[in-house]
Amino acid sequence: MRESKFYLYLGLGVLAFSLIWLVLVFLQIEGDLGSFANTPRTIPFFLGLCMSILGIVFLYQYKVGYVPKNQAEPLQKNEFRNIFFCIVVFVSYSYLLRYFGFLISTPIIVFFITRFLLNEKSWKLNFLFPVTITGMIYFIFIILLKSSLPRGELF
Amino acid sequence: MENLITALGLIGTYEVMIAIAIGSFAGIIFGAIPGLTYSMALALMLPFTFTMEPVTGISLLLATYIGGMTGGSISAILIGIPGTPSAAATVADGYALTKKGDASIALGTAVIVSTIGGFASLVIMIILVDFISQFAIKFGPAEIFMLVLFGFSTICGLSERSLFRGLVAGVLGLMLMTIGTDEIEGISRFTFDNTQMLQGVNLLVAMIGLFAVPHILEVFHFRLNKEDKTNFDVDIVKTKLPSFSLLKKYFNLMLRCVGLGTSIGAIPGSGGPIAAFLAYSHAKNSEKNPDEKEMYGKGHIGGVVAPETANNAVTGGAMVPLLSLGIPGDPATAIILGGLLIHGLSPGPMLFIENAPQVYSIYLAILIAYIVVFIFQVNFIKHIVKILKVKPHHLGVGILVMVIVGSYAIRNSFLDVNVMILMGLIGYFFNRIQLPVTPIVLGMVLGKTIENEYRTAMSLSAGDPTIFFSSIVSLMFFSLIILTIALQIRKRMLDVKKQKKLKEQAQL
Repeated sequence: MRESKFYLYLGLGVLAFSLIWLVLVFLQIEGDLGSFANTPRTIPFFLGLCMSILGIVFLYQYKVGYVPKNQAEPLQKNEFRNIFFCIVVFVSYSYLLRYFGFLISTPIIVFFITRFLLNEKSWKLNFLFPVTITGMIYFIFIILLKSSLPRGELF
Repeated sequence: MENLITALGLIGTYEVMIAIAIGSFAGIIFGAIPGLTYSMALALMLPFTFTMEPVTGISLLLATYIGGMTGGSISAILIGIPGTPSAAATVADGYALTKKGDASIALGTAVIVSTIGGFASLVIMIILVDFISQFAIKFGPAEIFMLVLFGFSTICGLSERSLFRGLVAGVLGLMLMTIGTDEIEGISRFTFDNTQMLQGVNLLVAMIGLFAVPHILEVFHFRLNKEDKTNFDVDIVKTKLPSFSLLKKYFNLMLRCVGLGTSIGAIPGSGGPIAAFLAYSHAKNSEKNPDEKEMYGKGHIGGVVAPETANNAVTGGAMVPLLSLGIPGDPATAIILGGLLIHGLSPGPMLFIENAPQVYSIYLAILIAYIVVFIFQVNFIKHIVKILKVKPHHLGVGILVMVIVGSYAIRNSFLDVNVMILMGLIGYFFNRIQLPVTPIVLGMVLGKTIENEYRTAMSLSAGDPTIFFSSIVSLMFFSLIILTIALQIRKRMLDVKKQKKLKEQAQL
């Protein structure tokens, strides 16, 4: 029994990724490797090979029993669920921006995050914070720096 | 002289001054708060520079970089947690001084030596950039290819975890840059017949995702699990500038640390933390008085002077390969490189011929940024430290808004937001399995140059690969690549041997 399987999993992961990449090099890029090793496929193919070699190196390190100083941290409680919630917020905000623009979407999403995701009870955080954050960003980027912020299809 | 006057005209506008003030302030804040980094601040700022005048946008980025590098010392001194890795060496003596009740003088010393370090490295930078550019202008595609490859090997080799893990991340970065339309023949690659994918992975979108999203995910995850990271309780402080005699006493040490910081900053992949630790160790070892030497680590002001001078001198050093060769030394300069490219300024030897006034305005922007950062830190420190009391997930909400708005604003593309989220997840996953993310960014920054120069050189030689070894410069860079990799492999083999020995001893 090895002390750590970190390099085994890392090696297999890297090797699998590189093999998929190499297959895609031939499926997703037209042309061949070329007699001058100078086609759009050359560099992606070479990178795929490099990645495979790195995968093999990790597997070799596992075989010789090398224990890494830094290993993967164990999965934490509710980690997948929490990350999923965050991603939903990210995607929802980008959809809101697409249709309603910055000035309307931002206070709505910040209110939603503070009230329901972060579970803040204070009215200052639920109402004042969203308006302040929107106003601050608008002031800095539009008024002071003359930059631009996203405009929606409806507003 | 004419270029300098034009540069003064470019920099002396209301917008540029506001940009420098905002950048400096944002940099200090992001640098001071543990968990946030100035690379993150730069990535968040970058999309908003698109619509600005080039000099205004670049000044904003440079001021953020300088503010961030200086701001790291605030939390290192006041709470004993470095705001940036570069300030880690300041913790030992800086925090010990705070515990003794000398926080004000420690902060004041850090501010002034940071400014001196930054100014001195700026002068060295101006001289070196001009010299190297004149030399590099003679480089052909083969030499540039070898040079960029050398930069890539040092970046991955010196990445914080290990050579092979750094290489995996670096190669992934290079792979990402091959997605989209091939620049030389116009053939689509890895687009899966999606027309939006023809534009490829946007570097800025990837940077925002890699630097900012993992932090948001982490603080929200802790909050959702009701395991909030505590905010820091900081007393009201003032910055007290050190006496002239103290600065005179450490003048020679500062000079040596400037040299150390600038030269380490100029090596791609090394950067602030290495310079700061080497400077600290040098300061301690070069101390002749045994009583004072004993005081290092227990609240010696020299332990603040040396690392803070060196890590700020890194800023000038890191700009040398960036401006003269187009090679970024660290993630921050990689983002600044992205900013320069967006505004049509292509760093490298030709930059001085094509955009001399802009180069001079970069120098002036750095100079003004150091002055503004100094003024902020001396006069507004008691307000700046209040930000340390803000809960991390509240700051996370603000960052989330900037992240989404920024990535959407780059090309008004919904796909970019999705790519940013995906890159953020990759960044989060890489952090969890202890793979470095910096080489991904650097791979992406250097990817297009590596491929284009390789293919141009191969076309010129009609497919003869000996073109890469046909000049002394190419051979020199090739030798350096081999040396870098060999040193890393040797270090790894020694580690393995050491581990085996320890295991055998444990079994006995």
